[in-house]
Amino acid sequence: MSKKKAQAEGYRVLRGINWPAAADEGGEKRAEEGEVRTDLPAEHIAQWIDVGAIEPADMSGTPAAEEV
Amino acid sequence: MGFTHGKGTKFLLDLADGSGPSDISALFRSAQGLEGKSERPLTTTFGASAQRRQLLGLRDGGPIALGGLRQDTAGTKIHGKSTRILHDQYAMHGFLRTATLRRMVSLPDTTVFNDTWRRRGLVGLLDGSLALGGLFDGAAAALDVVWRAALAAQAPVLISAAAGGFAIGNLVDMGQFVVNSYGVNSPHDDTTEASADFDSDDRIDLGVSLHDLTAEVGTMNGASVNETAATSLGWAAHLHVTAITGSGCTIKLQDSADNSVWADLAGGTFSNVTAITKERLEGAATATVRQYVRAIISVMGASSITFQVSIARRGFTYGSAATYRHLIGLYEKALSSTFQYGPDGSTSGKPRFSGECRLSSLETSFPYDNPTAFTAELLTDGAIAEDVF
Repeated sequence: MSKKKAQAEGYRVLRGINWPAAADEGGEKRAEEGEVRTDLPAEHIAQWIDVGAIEPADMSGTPAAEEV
Repeated sequence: MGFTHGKGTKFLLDLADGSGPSDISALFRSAQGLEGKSERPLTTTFGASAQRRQLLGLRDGGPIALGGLRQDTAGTKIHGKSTRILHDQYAMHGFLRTATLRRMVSLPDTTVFNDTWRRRGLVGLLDGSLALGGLFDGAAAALDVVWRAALAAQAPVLISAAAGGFAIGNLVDMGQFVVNSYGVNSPHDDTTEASADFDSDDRIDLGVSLHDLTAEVGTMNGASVNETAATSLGWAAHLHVTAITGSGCTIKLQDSADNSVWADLAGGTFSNVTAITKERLEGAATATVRQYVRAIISVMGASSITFQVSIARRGFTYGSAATYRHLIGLYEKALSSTFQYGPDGSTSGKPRFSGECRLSSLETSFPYDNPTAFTAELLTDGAIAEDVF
């Protein structure tokens, strides 16, 4: 699965995650376990996948490492 | 005259990552034991009129006993009055005056033919104990009730002890213990006191506090703690909830590689809190914990909750020289550590004893009216070299 396709179909959250957000958005955003999110910040996706916190929502394919 | 004052003593020891040896003399105020023993077995036979000792047996660097003042940060001593101790869902420091926490590890003899010095090349089972003493209090949820219940229970109790209090980032000794004795002393002319002895059930870990024992009233992300480096040999965590108003609170542990992007630690979500309680979580033996850690409240149904959380990494190899973490890092370390001991200082030409050793015990004493102190015992592994700095 390409990175673009994965982003379009979203990522399933396996463990709760937090990421920085603007101060007027509360400083930090959070996604809970079980959610499928399409708004995760692209620059952090590889790190979350590495630690098993998220996975592509459609697991029919896995994003190539160089695409993530 | 070559007499030497002890104040000039130098002691150097490897760090937990194997680097060194580093000068940690400033941590200690007593060192004794070297240069060890020479075994002199009896060789008396028929016909002798007195005991004979004609053979030089094995030599043994033996134990090196070190005593000092605990420093969680290099150069900063801690007064015992700052000690805080949690026992399950109870804050016990309001009753206690003394505490002695002891870590031990068996170091079996691995000496073989052709060795002339005793060797201790393996790390055996870890063990530990805790002795607490304080003022008797028979009120509900006070010392007498809590300790009598623990004495009668099969399940261990969770103990978290912080020499400098539970402010986020402070070091916390963490373990589960069973009580083996409880006594009350009633003098006719003084305060009634009580004491209890605990034995550890499983290992005693060294962690960091992720939340002080204070109240929260909503969801929150706790301040992060930078633990220097990621680890991948598991972890343990303690939660102590001493007060709650209302019901329903989810407390989680999170880790991060960059202090910016966070993920819940696998297995690091405590049970939904509905009453005062305690809980211990343990990660898998190879669980990774990234460099930064924090505690969060992700769901808050209660109107207020007072709790303390700590996490302990296993297999850490960081820790500044001459700190408590430095010594704990040597506990159960598979590789031996190099030491150098200079009774007359370490200037060029002064006598030096050096060799390999392992930490066999570390005892921390928390008195209410004196600095927090420790004694450590190092057992040597193999020959002691005698030369000069």
